[in-house]
Amino acid sequence: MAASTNGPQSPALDVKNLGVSYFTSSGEVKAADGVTFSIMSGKRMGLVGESGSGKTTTALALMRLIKPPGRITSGTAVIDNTDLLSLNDEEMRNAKLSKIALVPQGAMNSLNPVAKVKNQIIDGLRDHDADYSANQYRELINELLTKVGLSPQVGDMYPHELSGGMKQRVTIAIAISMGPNVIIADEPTSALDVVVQRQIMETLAELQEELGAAILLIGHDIGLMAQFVDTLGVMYAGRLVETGTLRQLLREPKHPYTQMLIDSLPSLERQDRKRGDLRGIPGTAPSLYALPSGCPFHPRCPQAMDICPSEEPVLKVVNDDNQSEQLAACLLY
Amino acid sequence: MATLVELRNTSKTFGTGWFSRKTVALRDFSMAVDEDEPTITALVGESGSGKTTIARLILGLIPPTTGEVLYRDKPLLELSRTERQQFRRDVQVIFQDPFEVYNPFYKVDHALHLPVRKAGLASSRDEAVEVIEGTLRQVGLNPRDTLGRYPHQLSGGQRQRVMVARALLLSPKLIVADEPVSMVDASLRATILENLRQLNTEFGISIIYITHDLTTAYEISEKIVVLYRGVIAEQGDVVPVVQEPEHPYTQLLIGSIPMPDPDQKWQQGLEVVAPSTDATAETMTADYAGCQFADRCPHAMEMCSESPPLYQTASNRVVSCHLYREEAAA
Ligand SMILES: Nc1ncnc2c1ncn2[C@@H]1O[C@H](COP(=O)(O)OP(=O)(O)OP(=O)(O)O)[C@@H](O)[C@H]1O
Ligand SMILES: Nc1ncnc2c1ncn2[C@@H]1O[C@H](COP(=O)(O)OP(=O)(O)OP(=O)(O)O)[C@@H](O)[C@H]1O
Ligand SMILES: [Mg+2]
Ligand SMILES: [Mg+2]
Repeated sequence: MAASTNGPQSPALDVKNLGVSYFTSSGEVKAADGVTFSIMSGKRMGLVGESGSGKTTTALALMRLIKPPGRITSGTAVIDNTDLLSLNDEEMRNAKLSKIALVPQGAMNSLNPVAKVKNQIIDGLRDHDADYSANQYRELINELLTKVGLSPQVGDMYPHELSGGMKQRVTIAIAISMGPNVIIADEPTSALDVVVQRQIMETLAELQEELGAAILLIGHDIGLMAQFVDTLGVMYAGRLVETGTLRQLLREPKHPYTQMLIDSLPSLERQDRKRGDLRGIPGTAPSLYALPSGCPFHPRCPQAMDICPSEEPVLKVVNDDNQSEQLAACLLY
Repeated sequence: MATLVELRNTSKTFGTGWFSRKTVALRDFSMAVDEDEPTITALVGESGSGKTTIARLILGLIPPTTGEVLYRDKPLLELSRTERQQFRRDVQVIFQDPFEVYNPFYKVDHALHLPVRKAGLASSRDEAVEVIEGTLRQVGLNPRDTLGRYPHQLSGGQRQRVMVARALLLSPKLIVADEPVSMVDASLRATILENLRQLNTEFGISIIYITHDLTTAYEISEKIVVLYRGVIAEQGDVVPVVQEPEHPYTQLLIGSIPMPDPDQKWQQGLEVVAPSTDATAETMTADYAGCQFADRCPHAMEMCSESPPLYQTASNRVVSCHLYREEAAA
């Protein structure tokens, strides 16, 4: 069945060939290169990958928040028939929060310490020239806070009076304030303990279902991903090297990097591992100023072949069960 | 047995303003780091449980409200100048929030050259660079991608690792690592934790590993202290505590660990008791005298309105929960 662009099967977010570079004194850093993926409405996609692999850069680019010396160099990102990357500043300001919203990395610490919570929520709404009376604002804020599991009194508090989990809930309230089609959450719970993390993720899931939105969850915690997402993308050195359903990637990872990433999970989370048997991936992440030729993973890859230094792999279908494609950028396939 | 650093019955109360409520961030907490037997001790607890407060007390950055902080059996305030200098070298820290630590106007190089210079680790600029680059590689960073950059030009995990490298430079006797790997991926986390463990086994450095992540605590530490709202919930050798948790809070924590397995979803029916909506919980005030966990505890009883002492349930193990009063007495 062919998916129509407006039917239930159409992606909420469709990213093609996204490129972002930082132009620094020592050269160009391609922090995102040819990134292509899509998320269906109501679905959740996870984005994992080594530190510095370009996850936050991808998120910021979709929000059009890349600042000089960085620049979006290529690509499209379509939500609701609109390409975010070709909007002018005014149009993008309107799209933020209503079409796409971001809970930024370290968001808990990015709240303004000298502003009351309610004012920080209002600030986001103001950008939309929302013409609300003071009463309407109060009601909306109470509703938003209640939705994220906070009591309305929190509106009158300052960030330092809140726990990490509560601050994170505030950032989520801001993100959902205009009912976006796509919510990007960049490591929303990496500073919180597992109990609070679970509560927050469950809240986020409920809100998403209510809104019918799609979620892009960025993070390092594969355990958390396994609980939360439908599909997963793996980044390495600015590129998406593997995508597929959660089950495909956890059960049958095809790219050697994904395989090693999953193999490095700690022992409490797996039966086949002794305590203290820590398995990092040997070698350091490549310098983005001087990427290895061919496949950027080849110097660290245990399965590297003769052609790997000379040929650049592209995403290819490696597994096609039940119409859900698993793609990997590896010359083994 | 020589004790390097000790917290003796320390408490810390914040908020002395006229209007602000007082928060007891830490209650009657004791812990000692032995100099002859370097160990890795994990301090685990949720946000606001007092982990960073303990770190700051140990480093002498804040004074305790009651109790004492001792360096080689001497209160910090009574140290002589030379003893204080020695203390500053012996005890190093890796801070929790790499965003806050760096001065945004200096390149990250500054944060690395400063300790090298202060401690006289190199005789020339070239040698300093060599030492620094070597240490950066040890933590999985590419010097070329790191040096010469401003903090905001690095990713979250890169900043965190520069902090680890900085602590490694000085070869201290104790490293207090406050959430050193909360923002790096599993494979790097394994590499950095392995680094920390090597410091312990090869150079005899003790490590206090502060984290909210029980899984990594289990991987590298020998002992564990589980904190809840400023008090010890449970303490002991890491394997029995994690495999057979006794305190209801530890049980809740372990039951909530997300497994990286599509067929093992979050344990259903596990009572995730709603969080108290306030940060500095009602119970963290000076006049509250009951068990800190009682309001979330599925086993709460009448006697929980009195705070439980640390019941000893095994030779190396204590738990602060009335459920164990008889076992401990027996
Ligand atoms: N303003 C900047 N100038 C130069 N380089 C930058 C800048 N911001 C980011 N980079 C580089 O771009 C690369 C990608 O960074 P990004 O923050 O997207 O990584 P990430 O995948 O989110 O990593 P983490 O998991 O550590 O948060 C990194 O190598 C980083 O050093
Ligand atoms: N300078 C301060 N003034 C007022 N209250 C403080 C201060 N520092 C800490 N607190 C309070 O003391 C308690 C313990 O804080 P602490 O920073 O030690 O927690 P933590 O366990 O490190 O949490 P996290 O995991 O979020 O870092 C919290 O309730 C906190 O709000
Ligand atoms: Mg990031
Ligand atoms: Mg802390």
